[in-house]
Amino acid sequence: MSKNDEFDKFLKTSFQKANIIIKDEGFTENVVSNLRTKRVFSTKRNLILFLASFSSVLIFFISNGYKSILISMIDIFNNGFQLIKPSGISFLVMSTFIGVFIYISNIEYNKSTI
Amino acid sequence: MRLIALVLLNDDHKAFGKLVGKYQSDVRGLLIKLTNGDKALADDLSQEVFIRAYKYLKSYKATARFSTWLYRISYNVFIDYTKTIKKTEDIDKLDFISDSDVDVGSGIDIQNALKILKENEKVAILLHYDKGYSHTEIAKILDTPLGTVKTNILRAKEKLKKYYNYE
Repeated sequence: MSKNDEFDKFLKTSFQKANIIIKDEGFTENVVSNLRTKRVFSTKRNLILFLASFSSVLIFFISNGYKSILISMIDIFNNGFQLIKPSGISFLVMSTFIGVFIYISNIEYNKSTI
Repeated sequence: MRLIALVLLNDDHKAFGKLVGKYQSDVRGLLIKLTNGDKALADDLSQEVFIRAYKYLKSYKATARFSTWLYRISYNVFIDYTKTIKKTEDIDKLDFISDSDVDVGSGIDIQNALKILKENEKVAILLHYDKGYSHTEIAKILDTPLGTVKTNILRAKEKLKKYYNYE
């Protein structure tokens, strides 16, 4: 073995002896806590969300008719403005509408693999 | 790759934490050697490495090992740090080990020896002799011409030989 090869071997051995497994001791936790949450919304996802919302409104209108929701909205607004309790039916219609809106939007958003 | 995919698709911090846990010893170990044994500094720099890795994870191409990509980031972080602090020890000012002190078998503290090297020499010698990368691989990691890598390793070896009185 040449002198050069011997020195190469010496260096490799020295580095191997100097190598130790470094314990985590909270390092990973520290790194993760300093990560900024990325904005997961992208243009495509926004588009899906919009289309899902539009679909849910459309479905509601088709199944219940647009008049019911408009009347309910006016009823709630007027009564709310006058501090009068809105009718139960109006409240139910609006709750159902919001529920359908959130439900369908949520499904479409979670299904999205983008 | 699965963990990387989870981070990219779902911004899964837990998955990224697993990645960090897997590679933290290697990255911190490298940076401890590059910073002449300064563990606190090495940990700060290592944290920066992983934060950059998280930020630029999209740019990771699976053509090379993930550890290789991390070493590249480690090098960049280290170089950025050295630009703020210029500290090069003159080889002539250091005390060399005499022949009677040299004991190859026991493994002399290589950490002290690395102090005499310039940053580029240190990185090249570590990646070659410590991590086992070839000259070509090191050139890719450091984005440096192959000739430069070979020169840095040669110079580093000459300095270390002089330091250990190996000639």
